[in-house]
Amino acid sequence: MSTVTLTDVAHRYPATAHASVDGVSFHVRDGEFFVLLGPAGCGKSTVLRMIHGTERPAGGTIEIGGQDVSKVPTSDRDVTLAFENYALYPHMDVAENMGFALRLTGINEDEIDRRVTDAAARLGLSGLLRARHDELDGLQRQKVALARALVRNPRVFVMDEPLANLAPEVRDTTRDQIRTLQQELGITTLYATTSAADAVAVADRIAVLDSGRLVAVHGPEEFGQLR
Amino acid sequence: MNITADRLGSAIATLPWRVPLADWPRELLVGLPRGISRHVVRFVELAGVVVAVKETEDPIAEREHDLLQVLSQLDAPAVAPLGYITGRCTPDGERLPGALLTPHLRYSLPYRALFSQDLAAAVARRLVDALAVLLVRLHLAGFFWGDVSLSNALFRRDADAFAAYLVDAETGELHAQLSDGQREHDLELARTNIAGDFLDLQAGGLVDASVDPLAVSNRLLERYRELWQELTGPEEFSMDDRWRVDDRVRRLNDIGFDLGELTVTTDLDGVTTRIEPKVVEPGHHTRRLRRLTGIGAQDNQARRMLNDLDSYRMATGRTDEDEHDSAMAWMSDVYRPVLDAVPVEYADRLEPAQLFHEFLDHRWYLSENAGHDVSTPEAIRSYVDTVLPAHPREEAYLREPSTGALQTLRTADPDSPTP
Repeated sequence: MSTVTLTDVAHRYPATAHASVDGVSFHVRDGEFFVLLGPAGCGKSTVLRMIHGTERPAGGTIEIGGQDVSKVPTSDRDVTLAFENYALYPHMDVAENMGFALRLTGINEDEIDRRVTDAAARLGLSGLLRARHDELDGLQRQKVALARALVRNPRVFVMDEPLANLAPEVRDTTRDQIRTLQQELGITTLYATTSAADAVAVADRIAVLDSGRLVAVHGPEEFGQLR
Repeated sequence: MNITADRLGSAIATLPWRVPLADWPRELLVGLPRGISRHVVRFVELAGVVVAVKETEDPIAEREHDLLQVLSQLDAPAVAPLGYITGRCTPDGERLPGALLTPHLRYSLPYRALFSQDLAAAVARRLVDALAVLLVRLHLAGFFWGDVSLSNALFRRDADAFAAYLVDAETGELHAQLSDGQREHDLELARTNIAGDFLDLQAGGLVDASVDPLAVSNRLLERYRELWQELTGPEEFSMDDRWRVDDRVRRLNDIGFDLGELTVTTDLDGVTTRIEPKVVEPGHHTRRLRRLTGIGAQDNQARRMLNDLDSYRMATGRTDEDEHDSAMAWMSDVYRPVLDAVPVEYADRLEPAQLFHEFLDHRWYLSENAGHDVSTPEAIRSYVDTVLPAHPREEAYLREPSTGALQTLRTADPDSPTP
C-alpha cells in the first residue's frame, strides 16, 4: 500500500523569518492523484521535497505505506521525482535514455535491462527501445521522460510543476497525457501546481495551500463549484 | 511586442522577431548552438557582440532575465543578461514564444569546443572541477540551479584549469541562504546530468576510452564537498593552537578565497576554540594582482603572475623594495614586452592573461631543455614564432569555429545551423 500521510509537518528554510510549511496534515490514498495547489511560495514544493527526502521537517511525521520515513534516507524511500528533465540525449537510444541514471546507483546491467524492458512495456514503448530522440513524437518523449522515473520502481511519484516551462499550445495535451499515464500505472502521485485549471483537470483530490498552511482538501468537482 | 533591453536596444529591434527562431535566415546566424537544450538557441552578432538568443515562454524569459541580473549584481559567475522579448507573433497573428538575450562571454567556450576529436580524461576532469567551483559559488550566493549540466555552462581558460560560468538560470531559485536539502538536491541533479552528458558523448564516440562517465560525475560531488567543507566547515582546536586561525585563512587564500567574516567562539572553560567562516569571497589572487598591477585576470592566472612577480623580485634583488614598485618594474620588464610582441594577426588567439600564462610555461620548457635560464626576449620570440600560430582564435571562436569542432558538432547535433 503506497499511501502518504503527513501529520502536523513543519519546515523553515535558513535565514528566513517565517515557516515555509506550518502544521500541514493530509492523507493520500494508494494510487491516488493528489494535487497540491497554491501560489508561488505557498510551501507546496517544500512539502514534495520533504516527502522525497531532500528536505527535513522541523516537526511532525511523514509516513509512506504506514511507515514513518523521517529517518529513512532519500535513496531508500522509493519516492521518485518525475519529469525533472525532459531533454533526451541525442547519441543515446530510448533504452539508454531510460536507464542511464540507474547505472549511478550500482544496479547491474542485467537488472537495468530488465527494468527498462518492463517500464517500456508498461508505457507502450517496447517497439521504440532502439529509436533516437528525433524519431519520437511529443507523447513518446513524455513517456520516455516518465520512464526515467518509472525504472526506479517507485511507490510514489512526486511531480513539481512539470508543465511550468512548457508552451501553452502543448500544456493541456501534456497534462492530459500525464494523467492518463498515471491512471494506467496506478502509482500514487503528488503533483504541485499554481494552476487551478490544471488541478481540476488531473486530480482525484486537491489540497489548497496558502502561506505554508493547508487551507482545505476538495474533490475536483467540489473545488470546481467553489471557484 | 515588447523589447526590454539593458543595452543595444536599437540593434535588438532589427532582428526578425516575427519569425520563429528556428527559421531565422542563416546569414544572420553565427557560430555554434550551445548543446543539449529544451529550447531553440541561436547566436547572432549585434554591434560586434555575439549574443545568444533563446526562445522560451514570456514569463520565463522575464524571470530568467531578472534572476541573471541579480546574480550579476551579486558578482556570481553567470552571464549578465542583455534583454528579453515578450508578446511576439507572426505577421498572421500567430503567437510566438518570448526570447531571452545574453551576450556571449568573451573568450568563453562551450564544452564541445574544448576538444576536437574526442574528450581526453584530463580535460573531462578539469571541466568537472570547474563546474564544482561554479556550483559552490552559486550555492554560497543562495542560488539553487536545478539543472546543472555541461551544456548550461560556458568555460574560460584559467591558467591550467577552467573557470565555469552559468548561462541558463531557467530552473533556478534565489534564496537568502540554501538549506542542506536544497544543496543536496542540486548535487543529485548535477550527478545525474553530468553522467548523462558524458554517457551521451561516449555513445557518440566523442570521449577518450579512458574517461569513465560515472567516475567523472562522482568526482563533481567529491570536489564540491571538499571545497564546501573548506569554505564553510567549522574547526575546533585547543586555545594553545591559535595559529590554526591563520592557517585556515592561508588555506582559504591558497584556493582563491578571502575571508570576509569569521565566527570565533571559546568554550566556558577557555580550553577549546571553535572557528567557522561566515563570509568568504572568491578572487583572492585576482584582487591582489589588480591592486598591484591593474591587470584583470582570473584567479589561477593571477596566482601564476604573482608567483612570477615573486621570482622576478628575487632574481633582480628587489625583495626589500616596495611591492608596488617591484610590480611596476615587472610590468615593464616582463609582462608588457610579452603582450607587445604579439603580432596583430594573433591578438585574438587567447585572452591576454592566458597568453601570458602559456608564455611562462614555454619559457620554463625552453629553460629546462637548454639546462639554463632562457632570457625573456628569447622566450618571447620562440613563443610567438612556434606556439601562438597553432592556437585557434578563441576570442572569435563563436564566429569562426574550427572545421574540426564543426564536424564534431554536426555529428552530435545534425540539426545545427551552418554558419
